[in-house]
Amino acid sequence: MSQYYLFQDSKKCIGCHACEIQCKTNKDLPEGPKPCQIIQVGPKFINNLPKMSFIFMPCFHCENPWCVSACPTGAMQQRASDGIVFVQKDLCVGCKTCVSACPWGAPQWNPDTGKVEKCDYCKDRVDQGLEPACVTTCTTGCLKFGKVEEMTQIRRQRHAESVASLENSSF
Amino acid sequence: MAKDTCPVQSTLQYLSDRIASGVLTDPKVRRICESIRMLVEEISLGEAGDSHMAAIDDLMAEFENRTPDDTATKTLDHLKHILSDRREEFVSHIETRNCPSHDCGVIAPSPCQMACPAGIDVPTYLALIAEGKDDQAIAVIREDNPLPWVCGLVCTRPCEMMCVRGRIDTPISIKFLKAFAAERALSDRRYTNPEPAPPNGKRICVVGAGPGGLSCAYYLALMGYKVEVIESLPFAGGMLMVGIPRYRLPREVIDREVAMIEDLGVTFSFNTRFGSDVTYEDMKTKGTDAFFLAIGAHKAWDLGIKGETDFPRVIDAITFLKNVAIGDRHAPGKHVVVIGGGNVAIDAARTSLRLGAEKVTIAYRRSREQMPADIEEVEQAEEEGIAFAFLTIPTEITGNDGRITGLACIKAELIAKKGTDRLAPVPILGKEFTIQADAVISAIGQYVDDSGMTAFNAVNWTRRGTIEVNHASMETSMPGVFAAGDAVSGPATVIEAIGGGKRAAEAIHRQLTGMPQPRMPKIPVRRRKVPMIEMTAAEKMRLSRPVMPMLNVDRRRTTFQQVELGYDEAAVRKEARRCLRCDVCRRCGKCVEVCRDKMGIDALHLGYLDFDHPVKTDFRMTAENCITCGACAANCENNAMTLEEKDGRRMLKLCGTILNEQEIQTCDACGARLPSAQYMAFISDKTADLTQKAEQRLLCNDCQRRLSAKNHVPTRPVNPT
Amino acid sequence: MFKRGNRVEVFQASTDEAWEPYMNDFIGVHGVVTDPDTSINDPDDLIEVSLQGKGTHRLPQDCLRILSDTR
Repeated sequence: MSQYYLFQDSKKCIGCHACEIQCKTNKDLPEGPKPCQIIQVGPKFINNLPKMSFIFMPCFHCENPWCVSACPTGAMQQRASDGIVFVQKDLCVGCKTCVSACPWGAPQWNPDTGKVEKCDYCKDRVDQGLEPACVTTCTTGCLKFGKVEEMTQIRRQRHAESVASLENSSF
Repeated sequence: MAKDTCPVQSTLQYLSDRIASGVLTDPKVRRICESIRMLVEEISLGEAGDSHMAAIDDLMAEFENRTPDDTATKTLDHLKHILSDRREEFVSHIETRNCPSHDCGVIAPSPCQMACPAGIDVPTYLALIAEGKDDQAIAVIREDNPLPWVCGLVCTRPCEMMCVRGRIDTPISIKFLKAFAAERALSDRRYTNPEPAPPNGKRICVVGAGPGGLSCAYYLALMGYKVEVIESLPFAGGMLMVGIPRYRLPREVIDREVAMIEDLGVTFSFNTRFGSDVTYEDMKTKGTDAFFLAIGAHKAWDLGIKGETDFPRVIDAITFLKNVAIGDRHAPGKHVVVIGGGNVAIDAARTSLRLGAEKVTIAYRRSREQMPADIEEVEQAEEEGIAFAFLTIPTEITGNDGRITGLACIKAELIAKKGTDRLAPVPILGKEFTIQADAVISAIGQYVDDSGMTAFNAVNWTRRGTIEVNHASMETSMPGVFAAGDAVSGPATVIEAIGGGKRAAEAIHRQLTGMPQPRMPKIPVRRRKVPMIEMTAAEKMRLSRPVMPMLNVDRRRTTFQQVELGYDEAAVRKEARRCLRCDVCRRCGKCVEVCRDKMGIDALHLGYLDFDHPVKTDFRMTAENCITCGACAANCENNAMTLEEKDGRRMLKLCGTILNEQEIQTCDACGARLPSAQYMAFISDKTADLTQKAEQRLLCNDCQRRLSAKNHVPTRPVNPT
Repeated sequence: MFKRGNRVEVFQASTDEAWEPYMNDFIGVHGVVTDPDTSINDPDDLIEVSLQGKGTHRLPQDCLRILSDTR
């Protein structure tokens, strides 16, 4: 697990996909690869009411990443300093083993470059003290980025809120 | 900048860096640079058209008026510098769609095409022949060589020397395939001329109807010129007709291809000697705009030995072969000795044999290894029973009453000359001997007969007795007079004369239309890029160069029938399929490197990719280790290596050769195509310490993400409990 | 003495009059002899050489040397 945490409050998310667009713009990506993606779950009838959620799916930056083990060229790496999993582009030869190895479908194929793209929490921005591109543009402010230790507090708070509101609605 | 880097590619790099680095802050400058970059990129990809340079010039003019800061000025200066200094190479990229430095990988030419002195697009016509499109193949060849049938029979084939397939087994039989296609296309009445440009009213006089003159006349006629060919012999063909014997090149072959050139309106004046029968002044008064001299090298060197001028039966090989070609078909004698070791000596000996000489001996000063004649020619002569006397220096032709009785010789040994490793024959004292002979033919080289050329008084001649030209334009020192062929190179090859004639035609056109001449001879032009031919690796490896069927020796010793009988159609089509398509795969070796060094799979055994140290190649071995991951294809700049999916199978193909195919798996959820089982096994091995190999659903990337979104997020819509 | 198929290097400019300025681009380039002098092996003759990436040209022999690993 990386030192960072990218948290989505899916109750606030309205599925505007701005995060996806900002991510792709920041990485200058063509049609196809989506390092982060909003997945719509539902709609589903719950108590005769249609409900749905939008789930933000970036890379989870696993502690023992499958993609890093699968990569034959050493292009897929885990940064020792903070655990961010990223592709070093000049080493990637486009074999896509990481794509098939990842249980969460995080590595993405870029047909234009013949190499893999992947969420790296915008490490270049993070290193400058900035937030990942997706977070900066979130219209409802549902994306939060920070160090894991800061996040636990937010999560605890949110969990409490969600338990409290469960009887009324899941939105 | 190093001289050998391609200016097109380096400009592309430079502009890309400038744009990417963000130093061009002025929006207009940035836009200009982006536009120039786009045009240069198209040039490097062989996609540029005639107006690309003009468009770049316009953008540069615009740039000139807008230099808001130092960076912009520096950029402008850099571009100005390279666009003026190396302009010719930009133009050449556009015109030829070839990058000789291989820096623009997509348009790097094939070695066979680069090797051809006429620059024929070999891989393209071979692929067309493989598919039975002989007429299209001939059309492609004739864009660079108007005599494909002739060359298909007699070319010295530099292309085959450079053929990459030769690094695996044997070169493709490029030469003969051309002859087959020409013969078939002519027979089918599908050997046609392209539509010539409308007449432009200009007249060109071509002196000499040999391969150089014919080639120049053909290309000039296509450009709309009125071409008049002056020829001293009674027929066209020059050395093709009087130098090459009929058993190698039947007369009909020359006649038919010359007829095609005549069809374009080229007129021939036979039995007409330039300088006496028709003069420079005659032609000038007629309004001739340019002259092309392709007079060949038809004068033989004298032996310089005693008795040479005393007997009527001492003849030089060139005169002898010419007389035979014209119709004087008499054996030079019963016991013929030919002096010399080159192709002409062999031709004279084999011709003597066919005319009825009982014994023919070739006397050569050095040993067999030093013989300059083509090895095939020597072998064929031996099969026919020609005798060879090596290390033999003729000293005197002996006889009486005008009849030769023998050739006095002295045995030689080869001794290295001081300061060189060149072996020179030195006579051994006391080792004199006589070869019985009643006729002696000398074949020790030819030179250019300049007797009719006095009117071209401003033309410079070299110390070798050849016409001096600038090889880029084939122009002599006399304005409006061009030259090519043996008259320029000294005795050389048919294909060089054809290439020279073509270059001269273009140079004449440039001069008469006021265009500047190129600095160096133009590199070959890529004519088409035809689709690959699909076949299995086993077939590609198993195909082998067919053996040329030969006329039986009895008939070879008695008649002038063609010795090489040619391949049958099936053999031709198969042989053409053997081509590796080096116009597409430029043998950069990236695929091998990626597979072996990066992936650690080492499935590609393509040793032939290395020019200097080729090691084993076997296309069939790829299937043993390959997991069809496609990394090689993803890294192939030219799309020579491709990963294709067809009929539920994923195929890895190199220029059409199927190196491996594996069954495609599909996503259990959406049916999308997934990698092969072998590929998944490769990953499982790598990640074995992370997860137990478990029965998992096969899911595509999208479905996997979708599933994990559903499963792993606590706030998904659920029934409240 | 050059034979057909010899691998050669253009190792220097020639002093021969047949050497044209554009040939300076060939110095250092490797190639194959495609047509030696096929009549008399005259060291003074121009011979045809196919140079890697430069096409096929006739060059004076004094600018060429045979590469040792000739096959």
